[in-house]
Amino acid sequence: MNSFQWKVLYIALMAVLLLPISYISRPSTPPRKDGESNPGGLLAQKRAQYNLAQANLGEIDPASETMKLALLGMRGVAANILWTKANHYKKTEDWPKMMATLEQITNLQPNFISVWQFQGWNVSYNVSVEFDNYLHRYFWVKRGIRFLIEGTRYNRDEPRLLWDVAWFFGQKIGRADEHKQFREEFRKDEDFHDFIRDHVIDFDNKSIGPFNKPDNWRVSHQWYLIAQETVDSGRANMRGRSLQSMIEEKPHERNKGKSPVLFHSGPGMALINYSAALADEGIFDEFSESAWAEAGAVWQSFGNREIRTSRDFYIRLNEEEALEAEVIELTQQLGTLQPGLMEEIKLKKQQSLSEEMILALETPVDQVTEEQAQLHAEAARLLMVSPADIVEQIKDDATRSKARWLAETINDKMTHATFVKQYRNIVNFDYWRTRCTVEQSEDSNQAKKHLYQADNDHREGRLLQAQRNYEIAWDAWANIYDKYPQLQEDVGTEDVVSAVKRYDNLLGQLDQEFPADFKLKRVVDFHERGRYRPWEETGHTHSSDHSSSSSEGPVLTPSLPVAPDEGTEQGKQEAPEDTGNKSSADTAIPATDG
Amino acid sequence: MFRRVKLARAEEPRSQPISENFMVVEELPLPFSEWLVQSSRYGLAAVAVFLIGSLFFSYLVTAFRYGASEGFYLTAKVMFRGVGEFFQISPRRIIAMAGLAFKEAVRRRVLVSFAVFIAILLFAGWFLDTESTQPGQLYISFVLTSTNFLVLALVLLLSVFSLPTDIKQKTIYTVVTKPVRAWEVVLGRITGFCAIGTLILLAMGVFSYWFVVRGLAHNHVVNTDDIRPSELIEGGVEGATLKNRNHFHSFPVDTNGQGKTDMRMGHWHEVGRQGEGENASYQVGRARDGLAARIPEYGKLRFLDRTGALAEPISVGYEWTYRGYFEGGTLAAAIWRLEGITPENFPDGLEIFWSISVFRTHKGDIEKGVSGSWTLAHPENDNQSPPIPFESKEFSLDSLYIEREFELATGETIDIFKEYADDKGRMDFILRCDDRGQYFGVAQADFYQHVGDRNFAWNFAKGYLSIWIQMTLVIGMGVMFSTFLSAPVALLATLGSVVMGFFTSHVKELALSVFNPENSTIDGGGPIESLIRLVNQMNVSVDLDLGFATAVIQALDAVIMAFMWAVAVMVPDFSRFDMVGYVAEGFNVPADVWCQQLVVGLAYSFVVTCLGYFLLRTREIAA
Repeated sequence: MNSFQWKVLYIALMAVLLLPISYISRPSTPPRKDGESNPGGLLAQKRAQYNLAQANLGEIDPASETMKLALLGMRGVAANILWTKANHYKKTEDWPKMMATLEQITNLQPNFISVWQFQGWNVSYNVSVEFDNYLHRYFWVKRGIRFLIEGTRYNRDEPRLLWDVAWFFGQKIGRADEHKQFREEFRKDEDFHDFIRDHVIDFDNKSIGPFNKPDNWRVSHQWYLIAQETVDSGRANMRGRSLQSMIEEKPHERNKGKSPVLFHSGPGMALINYSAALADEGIFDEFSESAWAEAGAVWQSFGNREIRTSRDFYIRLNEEEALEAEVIELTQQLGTLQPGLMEEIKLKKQQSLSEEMILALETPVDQVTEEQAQLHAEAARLLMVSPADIVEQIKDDATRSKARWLAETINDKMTHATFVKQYRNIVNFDYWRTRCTVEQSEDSNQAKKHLYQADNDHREGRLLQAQRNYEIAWDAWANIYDKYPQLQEDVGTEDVVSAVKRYDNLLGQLDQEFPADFKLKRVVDFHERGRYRPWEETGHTHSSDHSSSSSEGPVLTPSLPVAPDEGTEQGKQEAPEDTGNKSSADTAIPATDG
Repeated sequence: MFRRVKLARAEEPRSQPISENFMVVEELPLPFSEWLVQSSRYGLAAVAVFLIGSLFFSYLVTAFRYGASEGFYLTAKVMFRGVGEFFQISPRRIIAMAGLAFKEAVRRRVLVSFAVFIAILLFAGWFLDTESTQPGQLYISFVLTSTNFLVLALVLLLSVFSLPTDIKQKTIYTVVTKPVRAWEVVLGRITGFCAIGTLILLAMGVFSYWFVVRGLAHNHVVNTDDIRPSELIEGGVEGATLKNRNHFHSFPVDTNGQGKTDMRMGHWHEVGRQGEGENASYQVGRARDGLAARIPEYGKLRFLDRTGALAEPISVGYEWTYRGYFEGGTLAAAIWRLEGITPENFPDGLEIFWSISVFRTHKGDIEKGVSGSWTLAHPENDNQSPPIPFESKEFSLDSLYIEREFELATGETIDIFKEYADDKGRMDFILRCDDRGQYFGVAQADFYQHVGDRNFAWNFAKGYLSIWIQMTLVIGMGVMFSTFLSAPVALLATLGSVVMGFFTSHVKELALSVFNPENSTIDGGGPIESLIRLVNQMNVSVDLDLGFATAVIQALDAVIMAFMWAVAVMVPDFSRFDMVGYVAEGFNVPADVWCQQLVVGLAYSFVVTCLGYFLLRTREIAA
């Protein structure tokens, strides 16, 4: 073939190749008047199926599109260079240039979620702290939030970004060292309110906190709801919209991203934090009570929400008690299939124990040696009667098959209950539930209000008034601890103990004895383990060793026990993966009356 | 006593951008004369080596073609004729040749680049950060950078295609058969392309200036309902403007109805009251100082440690070591010694500007800055002024006006020049941090005496001058390479030289690291080693362990890097021609800087022109 023929052949081949390309890339057409619509070629269909078209992801920015086209496929290289530049500008503290570079990066990769997440965090958390003036810090915290919200415009149904916006509004403004100043700034920041108003529905009603001004925690709550709505409506998965739509349940990808239990705890925690913040700021009226009531209701509905576990079944955090009751009932049923069998097995197991183990079991707890403690635990494990033990011992086939069914059901329920317990621990569910209930009580309101006033009076030299307020507060606290004894074990009670020390100091100033019948003795003892006992029977005198309590620094308002919330490391842990190799025979039955 | 001139109101503005108006100067420029003396020796030697090397290269080429003796004869002839012809250059013929080059450039539609530039300006708003805290900086660096790259790309294409096309199409013979010398061919082309480049650059400069000025011009409206009695000025009022361009200003107005707004986004406005009482309205003037060219007088910085002895500053652990830190609440201090502090230069008093970085080791009072103080001190005796306290403001320019005469607590009136400056006009400015456990961080350029202001347009033009110098260099190199290479190869060679020119310091550093791996500052080895690491996804800090192959690879890398180093030493350092920082940050480009650049640019242009001539002659011989 000569050169001309080759050229003709090439052109013909190109034309042939164009046919399938044009066939698979036919555009879809919207429904016509006669109701007929054309789904388009394969590419158009796939785009629709996975919501990959740019218009489905979010707003289309002409600047972004131009930049992507102008780079002729060198987008990755350009993005890399820009990242390096952004890092350099951060290092050399050239903030305007850093922000300009970030904007360029997001123009190049508007749908790359991690860029928004990472850089939003960078600006709000890392850049802001480089500034000494708290107003400047607030400005940069806000800039990071605006950056994230900008990201949600390009990725409108992306729960990861929406959730982060909520987190920043809540945690960065409401939990920073400067949270008092930041919250105050946020309230006054009408400019920012105007900006948020464009993104949050009914901002002026639902985001309003004390002083009839928007509150950062309430705004945070609104954003959590938006994030939740994208998931509940099925438009996205909390693991990330783009990721999930493409990978379609790949097991190894499924547990990426935020755990469902943390994801859904957001709205409740935002309201709890909001209510706690009110108390910190000295607001103790119906306003604060209704805030706790609302938080409690939202937390309750969080407990009723179906949550997918890492083992693919669904649980509800509120169902732990019910599940445990069911297990007990089923175990009783199992026991009645062949009366006396359980005791028989237990006896056999007891007989199989070694002498050392029996000795370890019989030794009083406070006298056991370390070795015995181990033996004790081992013996206790051996003595447990599992459903499988019972099934094994039943001879009659019909009864045995019923027993097997019961054993499996018990195991199933127990696994559920275990997961519920673990997931509850992740978000500290029980603690917050109790706290919401306690905080709504009159006692709690009295306790905190009077303590707050007492501290103020003390600080301002109204000593007798302070004493009166302290005493009212102690009565109220004592009532609370009587009703909810589990609260006194909490680390947060230390705030109450430090308040007791301030009270002690006040009594010293007034030259009075510390009351021997002090109502919170138990609480103080529990936390101080005898190191501090101002009510000694011999009659306490205020010596110099107590003066240290007066120099403790700023007087704190004690609050009810503070437990690690979802912001702590512990709270952030992913749901524990179960080992997966538990057979039904390994599961022990809890003790029953039967 | 001391009067503090506040550019901003006492109350910090809320919820809006913060000004960051200071410039990072890693190394202060040497005075031009000093630089010239230092560089001339090295420069002249470099020029000599370069010319001799080129001649030797020419000889090699001719010797290869015609034999050793014939080659020598031809090269010597060309060299002597070249020198002779140099003195016979006719400006008229150069202008004629330049005219031809100019026409050719126009025929090649170079003006399209201007259209591209206008298009870039039209759509620039899409890409510029609208929320920037320093819009002026952003606009200026954007126009200067885009002009720079556009013009360099344009002249690169223009200069490398001209001669090869002429030679290829044999149209060069219509020129060389005329009484035109090779000097004139080369110089004419360079001049012609420079002329059209200059014209385009001028047009771009005018449009850029218009773009920046118009882009930053704005006004504010004052809502008279927000006006309230001032807490700072007795009988005055204060208020805030409405928001425009992502910011607003707060301002006080005195009893005469005059006031200034605070500094926001790098500028402020004048405010004037019209009417009295309830009918009063407030007019906000145009933005000021957004486009400035301040002339700073920097001092020499030294540090004292906590015992008051001279010492190196403390590192607080930042990766960027630009600023040195010193401890608060101790005798530690930063001291700048300024010169030229005479009553003749500053008849009324001194205006000083500073910017400090704060490092807190404890929270302290969140709502307050860290306390610091300035003390004026005589460089030779113990005379010191009472400390002038201030509260730190990070990432923004703080200023103080010190009146020439003030009264001490004893009632005695003092003239600062007599009391704290020596006969040579030197004065020490001592900065202390007064809060224990907190640190101040400063660099030499963080403190300066504001000597005056230059015209912004002129400063902007200086920014364009640096682009012009770069353009001339690229044209020179393009023409030079095109005298002996085909157009695409010349394009690559010039492009390579320019790219290398932007990274010379990095290449030199890399080469030194490869030559001397024990003291390397850049990890990862030379090109081959890097490639192996890249392919194997190997961390740069891990030793390459391929046995004997490692030694071979490193030896090869050393050879490659030796070549790269040689090239890096020869090509001009383009990164030095950067005046964007000065112009964008609102500082006057010092004459020392642009004169140095001009000299370097002209020297390089001379060398490449000579080289171009000889290469063209060599080519003529070869042909």
